[in-house]
Amino acid sequence: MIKSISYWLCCGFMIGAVVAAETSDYQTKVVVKGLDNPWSIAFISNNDWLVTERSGALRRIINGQLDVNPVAGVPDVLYAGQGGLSEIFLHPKFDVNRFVYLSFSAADTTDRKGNALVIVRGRLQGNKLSDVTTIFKSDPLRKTAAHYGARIQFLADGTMLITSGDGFNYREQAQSLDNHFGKLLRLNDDGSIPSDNPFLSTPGALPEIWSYGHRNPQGLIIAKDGTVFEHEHGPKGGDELNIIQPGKNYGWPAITYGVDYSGATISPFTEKPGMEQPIKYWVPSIAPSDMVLYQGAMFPQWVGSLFVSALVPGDVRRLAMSENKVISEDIMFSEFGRIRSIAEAPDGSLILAVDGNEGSLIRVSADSP
Amino acid sequence: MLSISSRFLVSVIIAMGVMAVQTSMSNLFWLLSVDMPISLVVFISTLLSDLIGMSFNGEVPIIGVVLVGLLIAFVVAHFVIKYTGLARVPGYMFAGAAALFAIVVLMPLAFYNLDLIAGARTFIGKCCLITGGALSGYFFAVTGDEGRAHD
Repeated sequence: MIKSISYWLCCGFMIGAVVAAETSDYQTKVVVKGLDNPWSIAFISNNDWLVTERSGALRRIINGQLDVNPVAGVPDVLYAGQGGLSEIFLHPKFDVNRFVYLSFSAADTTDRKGNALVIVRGRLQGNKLSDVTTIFKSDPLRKTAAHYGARIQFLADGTMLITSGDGFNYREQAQSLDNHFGKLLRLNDDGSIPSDNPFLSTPGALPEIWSYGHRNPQGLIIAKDGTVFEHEHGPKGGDELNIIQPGKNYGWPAITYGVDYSGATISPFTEKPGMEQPIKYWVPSIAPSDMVLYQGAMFPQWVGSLFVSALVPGDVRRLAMSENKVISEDIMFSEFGRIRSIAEAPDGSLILAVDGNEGSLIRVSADSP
Repeated sequence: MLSISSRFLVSVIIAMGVMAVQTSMSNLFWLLSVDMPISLVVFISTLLSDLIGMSFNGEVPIIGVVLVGLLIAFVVAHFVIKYTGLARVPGYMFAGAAALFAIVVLMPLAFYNLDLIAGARTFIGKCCLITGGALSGYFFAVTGDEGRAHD
């Protein structure tokens, strides 16, 4: 009896020691509270952050303090369903030109039932956006307020990629090249079309399309070697992590690992020649919301890992990668609820945006020595 | 004659059946249009899978929504028929159609126009599903004997 108790106590201590070793690698701290559905984070410097609130405000956080005054000059957004102010992204030469890019859903000015994904560019001067110009508006309009995509990243050549979701009701359009539903798009930094986009010479295709067959892509990251990682929400099951190549078809909704929310089949097929396979998929869904490829110095053991934030049940997946393949998956930060966004700060700490109308930012940093 | 609960359950199954078949066919025809290999086996297995999947495996089991919708509609129809002398068959057919109208037309308005039933995304699809509701009402009316004096 005593032997048995000793055995279980030893096991308990060992498990405790392992857990302690795992968790003592980092500490978490709430940096900012009271954000209204934070969606995206950008870093001007280590102590000067910008964060979007889906309800339409662009907020500034300086030295860990939330500026009570939102940044002025942000256009009106359609705050409904999944729509609202979404991505904030700084131009690669922000220090010189002060350009920031915002994505959001906006009601159409002529068709009041229609709305679109819009990208604007403006100059951040102090606490104000000026010279705000629309550089992209999705076409055609949608009547739903869901599946906008709305992530932005810059490629090394100075062009930008934009994710555009399928609008939920328009999923079949993701397979047609004459619209923006379910596409990745590539533009120059002023919104013009690059001369080497893959479908420029395809009759009927929109020239900004870079890849197609996507559902609701809300994670986009570009590795130093140019690899473009994208993840997208599946339906009921079938969230995908893809490596995107220009001109390729990623299959939605002709192939999928998920089923419709109603329980109906979307497609009985999971693969077809000419359609790309994900490098990883999740069944059941985790609702992947954002992604970062860790490159910082604060956590050397995490360099090269993809961190995918997830809304359901609410955690972060650390995907250890080798030669663009996922070799392991760890579930982290599951104590905070729905994680809407994840970003790497200039000092190498990770910042998590917790979803909700009382949302917060959590800083994950190394233990103090 | 069937008991009222049996008639009602069969009516729900009729509405669900029309919904599943219509949703399957709209998906499969689109897949055919993009050259996906839809064989007879795939066709039949998808139909059966959707009948079960849409009834029990959805985020919200659709069969529950249809059941509640038809229950409310048929109870209201019962009293309307009883007190107004409206004929049973058109009365229950209208009630069934109204229930499905609420599910496929009105309910999406509460979800920012999201059509959770994929087959209901088109005008024709909505009409099919509403017709399914009318069919379920027709079955309910013609298989019962209560209030037959109103016919």
